[in-house]
Amino acid sequence: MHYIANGVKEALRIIFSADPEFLAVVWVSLLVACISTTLTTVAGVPFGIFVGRSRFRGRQAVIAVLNTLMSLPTVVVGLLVYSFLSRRGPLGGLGLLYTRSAMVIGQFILAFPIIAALTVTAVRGLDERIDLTVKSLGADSRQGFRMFLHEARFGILAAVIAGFGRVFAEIGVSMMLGGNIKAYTRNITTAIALETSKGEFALGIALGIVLLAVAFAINGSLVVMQKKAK
Amino acid sequence: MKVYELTGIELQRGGFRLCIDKLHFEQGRIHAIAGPNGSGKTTLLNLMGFLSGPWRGRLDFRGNTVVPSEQTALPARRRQIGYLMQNPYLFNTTVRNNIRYGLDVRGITGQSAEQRVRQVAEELNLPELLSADAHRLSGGEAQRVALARTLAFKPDVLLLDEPTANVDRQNIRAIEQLVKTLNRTCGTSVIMSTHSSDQAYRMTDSMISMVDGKIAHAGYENVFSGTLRLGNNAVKTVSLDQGPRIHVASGTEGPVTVVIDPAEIILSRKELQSSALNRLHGPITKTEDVNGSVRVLIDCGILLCALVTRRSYADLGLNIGKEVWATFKANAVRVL
Repeated sequence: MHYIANGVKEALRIIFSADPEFLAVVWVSLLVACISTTLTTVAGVPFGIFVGRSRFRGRQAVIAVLNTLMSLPTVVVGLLVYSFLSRRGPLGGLGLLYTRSAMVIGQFILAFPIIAALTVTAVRGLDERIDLTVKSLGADSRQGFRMFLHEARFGILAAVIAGFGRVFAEIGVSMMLGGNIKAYTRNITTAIALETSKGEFALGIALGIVLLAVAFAINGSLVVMQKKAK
Repeated sequence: MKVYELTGIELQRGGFRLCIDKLHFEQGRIHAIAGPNGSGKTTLLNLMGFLSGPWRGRLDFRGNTVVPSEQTALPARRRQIGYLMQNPYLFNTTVRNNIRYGLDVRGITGQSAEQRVRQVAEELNLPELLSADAHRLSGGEAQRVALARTLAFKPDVLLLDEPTANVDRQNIRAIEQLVKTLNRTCGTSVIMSTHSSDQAYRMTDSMISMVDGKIAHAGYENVFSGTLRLGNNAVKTVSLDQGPRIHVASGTEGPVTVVIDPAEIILSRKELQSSALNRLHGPITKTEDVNGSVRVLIDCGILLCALVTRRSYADLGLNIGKEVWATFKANAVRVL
């Protein structure tokens, strides 16, 4: 127990003294997760809106696939993208393996089903009277769509936050595609794994506190969004 | 001038069919559409609000024929009218933003929009609610906000689908008064649906009633269902459900809905000897003053409504509880 208490004490020191190594790891996590979430939002939200609002053959199948992929194991995504980006793979020539770009690609694949599926749910949960109401008030299709987005805003934002939470806390993709390179691709989760295997608990605990704080903030935001969406 | 003119309109919605041979609404007047639930009032208002289609037949709006295929032009047409839908949806924002929406889509913004919002909020007793979250309002408050949103942009033509549903009695009168004032001072043409014939009578003397997607011109009163039978010498009678049998001039055998125009019913203290085949008898249960006439309800197995002049009412010495005879021709009964 003594070493855990010492570890926590040392972790707090690391956090409050803004240790450069600690800050570099947090920075990589935030940077990569923000880029991948932004790209996924740009692709996943319109896709979710399209699936949620349109009536086409196979729509239910698309929704079922998206829901299934929400629980995609991170190591499976890591393996899949690795096979494409490795030197022998079809995209090996691009030299992306063990780069932040490779991590972004993997996290994009992880977050896309979550953001798209939750957007579909948000859109389908909207009141059916919205379209007719905006039309009855004289809105054209562009103005009507803008109001539709306004009404769906909390649900869509919740989808984006959930996607960010998923990529921020994942390890499989970051480890397999990023390679845990110090000050370049080493992020919070890969650093915790490394420090723990080395028996250096202090930095691991400090990073764990940051991870928990972010998870808490994300869950808090989701609760607020869900309340506002009602 | 006619604000709407419908000729040979047919509109299919799932299993429901709206079928109107000929109907028009005058500009600058209040018209009421009465009828039971599912009679087609909302479908008719949606059609006139350019919200449903495609339809067959001819729909003229202010002298211009509207064709269902002109989808891109429909928003411009909708901006010429204010349509308060039944069970309206309020956007997930403040009451103020809800009321502003119709102004925003018409390009009215800034100070003039805010001034208009405040004015309409005052008229509908809503000023304290302007900053409130629209989704936290009671049913009656939400209905008034929706009406304020429709009135904010001062439409020339107002379509109101059950405008006082869920509203408390005090505010019902305020809304009715406001609509009447708008009609009188601004010349706004109003077409409103209601399931309350009392409200229809309070608002206007121009009322049509609907049954099964068709117009039953006589008004909401005296709409009964029964079974039509052909007797000897092709005499047609309808046995009303839980009521008397009446003579009719048209219709085919089987279940039917009949409508008797209240103005076509003659009241007398003694049985009239005349060519009219229908003579029903019973006590008066209710009377009401309506735009210079008296609406008399008689319990003669069915609750029959007759419309008589004040003078006739006084001359006959009619009153609640008095026994009267109601006489009307078979031709006065419309079979739907």
